[in-house]
Amino acid sequence: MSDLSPGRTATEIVPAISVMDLSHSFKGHQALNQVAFSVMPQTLHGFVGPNGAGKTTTLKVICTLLKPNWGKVQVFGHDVGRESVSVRKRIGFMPDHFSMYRQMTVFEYLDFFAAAYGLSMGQRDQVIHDVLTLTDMDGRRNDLISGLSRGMQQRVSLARVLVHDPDLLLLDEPASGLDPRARIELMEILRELRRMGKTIFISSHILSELAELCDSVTIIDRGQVRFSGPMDALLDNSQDHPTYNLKLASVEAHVIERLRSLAGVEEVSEPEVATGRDFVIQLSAETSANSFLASVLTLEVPIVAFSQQRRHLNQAFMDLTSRGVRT
Amino acid sequence: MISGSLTLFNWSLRADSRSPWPHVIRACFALFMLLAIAAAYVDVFGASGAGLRFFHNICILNVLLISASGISYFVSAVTEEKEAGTLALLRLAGVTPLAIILGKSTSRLISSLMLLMVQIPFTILAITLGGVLWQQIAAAYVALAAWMAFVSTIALFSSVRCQTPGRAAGLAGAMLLLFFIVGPAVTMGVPLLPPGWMPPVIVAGLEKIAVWQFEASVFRRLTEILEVQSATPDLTSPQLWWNLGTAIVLFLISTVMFDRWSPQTETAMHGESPTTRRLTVGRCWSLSLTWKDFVFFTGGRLFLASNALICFLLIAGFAWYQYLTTPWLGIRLNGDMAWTAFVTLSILLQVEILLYSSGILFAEVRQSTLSSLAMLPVSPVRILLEKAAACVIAVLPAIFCLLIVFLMDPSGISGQLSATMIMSWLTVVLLSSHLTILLSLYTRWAALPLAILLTAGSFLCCPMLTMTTFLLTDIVARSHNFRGTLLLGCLVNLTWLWLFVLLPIELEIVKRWKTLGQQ
Repeated sequence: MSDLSPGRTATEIVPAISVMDLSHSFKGHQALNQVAFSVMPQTLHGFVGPNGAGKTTTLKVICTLLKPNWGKVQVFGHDVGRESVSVRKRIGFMPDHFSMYRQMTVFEYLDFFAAAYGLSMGQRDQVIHDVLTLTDMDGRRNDLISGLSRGMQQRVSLARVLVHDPDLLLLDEPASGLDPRARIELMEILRELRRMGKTIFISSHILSELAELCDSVTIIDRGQVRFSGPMDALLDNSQDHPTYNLKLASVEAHVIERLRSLAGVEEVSEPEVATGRDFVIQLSAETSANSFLASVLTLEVPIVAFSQQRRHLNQAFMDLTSRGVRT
Repeated sequence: MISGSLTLFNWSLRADSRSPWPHVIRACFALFMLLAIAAAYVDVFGASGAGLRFFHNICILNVLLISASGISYFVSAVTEEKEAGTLALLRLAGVTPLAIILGKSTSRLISSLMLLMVQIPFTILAITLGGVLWQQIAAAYVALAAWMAFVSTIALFSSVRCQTPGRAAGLAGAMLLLFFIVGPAVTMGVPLLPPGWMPPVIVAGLEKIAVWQFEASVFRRLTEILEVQSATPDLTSPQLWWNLGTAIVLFLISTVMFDRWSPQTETAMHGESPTTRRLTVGRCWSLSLTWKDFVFFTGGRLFLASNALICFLLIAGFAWYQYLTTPWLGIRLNGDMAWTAFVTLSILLQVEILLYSSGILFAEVRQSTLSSLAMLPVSPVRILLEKAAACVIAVLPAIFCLLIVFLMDPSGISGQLSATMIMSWLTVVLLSSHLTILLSLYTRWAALPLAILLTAGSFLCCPMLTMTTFLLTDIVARSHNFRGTLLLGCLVNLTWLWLFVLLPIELEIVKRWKTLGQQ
């Protein structure tokens, strides 16, 4: 499908999701307050926030279930309020709870949704085969949904949102309640879908996996966006004081003092669990990694690894969001 | 055991008192009572026994309500825990089956008894109106309370036996239907059998069952109590003992079999074989929602076939009975028997429509599948229409059999029917089904009884309005020399019904559907 609205040029990329000045309140409670962010096509975008931050409300607005009080939301250039049918054809929404017809078999469940999206019987056979293969559920097509484990039901749910080949997938807490294996397998499927050109908007609490998986991220708290942009920009440490990890092959005498004596080094410390071989080095803003590494080589210590220290998403999340539960 | 029961009882009672719907039902009941008083007053204006007439109406309404609400309320007692997957947790917490059953049912029983208590002030009015004594009223309420225990334990037994409220309601409804049918069927059928056709032991057993049903019937007991001659009836009766005895037996079976009937693990991983499944379920139609609800809500092809079979057997039963009693009429239904068969099938059709109405949308709410449906690129109106189409397919056998009975004696049946009667029946069916659908989106269990109450109220005004419309259209048509007065009357009736009654309800259903989809 084309992502070009009338009047746009081929070089101008239409965002998969564009949220502008979105505000919404329920019975006097301000759930969203001037939320704004955009998601580029064919990216995997994380949507993070504490409980009650407004994640699900935002998702419901994007997937046309909820009409916002104020603001504008577009999906591939289509307004979610005025062009809801067009939007629904291009998105697949997987809610955080299992809303499944448990008395159906896997095949019947997918057949039903494929037919509901207007696919002919021949198309349905092919599509169901494809999505079951992708989610590795082909061998369970005749099983009753009620007899499947939670992880398998999650896969079927994912297969369901794929039957009409949507360009944008909206996943609300897709990994919640899954065991580690099922979670890893789900993440693999999401990577595969991104490779296939899908845009994936994923709301999740599992920050470590989001950090590995997502190209970009939006952090929301108390109905307001605290950060929205590339994951690297969020995780890279402060640009004023870049921090690096240095690992040596063996324990060397007075190595901390020798490192501190190098030009541009502001601080040298050891991690919480000191090994005598691992060091965290903070450089001054004007010192480059190259010049520092050249200086270290002059010390003639056995270097095993040298990398920029990245902030963990947990830390970024804690820094950006307020403490306590929203009232 | 006591603490477990008390905790569950306390929790259930609190949930009940917090929910507005039980209070609304009680208020509706009180309102209906006032209407019944007014009707009784108008009915016997200037004559004696207004209180008796009024109290008789109240008793009949009570039996219907207890039967409908008892089933719809109690079937979810244990099945809701099974569906939520919390039954195993309760058992792990050391709550015994007896405690679970007691805890879950006592609050419901109290809630139901409050429906009877709300009537007490009005029954005093019945005494004031005359024709009924307090001894009769007390005996009637004892009979009704026993009937409530009987119905609620049937529903409770079904709730323990089945895994979903739908199946439990089906089992409880079938058991209750069997109870009502078995007595008359044996009483009428056995004497007609050729001598020696059945072993005497079986005949004696069947006759005992018929006697048991006769003695346990609440209708018989209420008739006995309200007969003017029996002004001071006993509080106890065989009906009381039979109802309570059966209730205790069913309660004990439910308790003993509780663990065996509550699977600890998930249901079977595999359904039927793919071949069987292809026959019973098949591929999804292009009207996907109609297919889904036809197969998975109304029961699909298998249920359609059994439904058709039951309807045909019913007609065959009537024809057989007619042949046995009046052989010269043959097996083709006519006269009174054709009319009785026609009315019976109409009632069955009405019951079927009401049952489907109460569950067709509620099933989506219960399974939390509304948001998935709301995300489909089709309008809510189309979704609702496709769902309605599934129910229409499911009631086709009953409609078809109604037509067959009509065609067996068209002149006889049309002689008994009038345009007003047909329109009134249609009005009541449409109104009650619309109300039930709407209420099922607000309340978990009370949709059906509440709709019956409201529809019972509409019985008072619908025929009057229909008749007035027919009269007015007739006058207008005659003044303009228009011949099709009947057609015009039907059209005008259907128009006002849809425009002023059904359309507002339909709009409210769509609005509520959208709201629930957002949640």
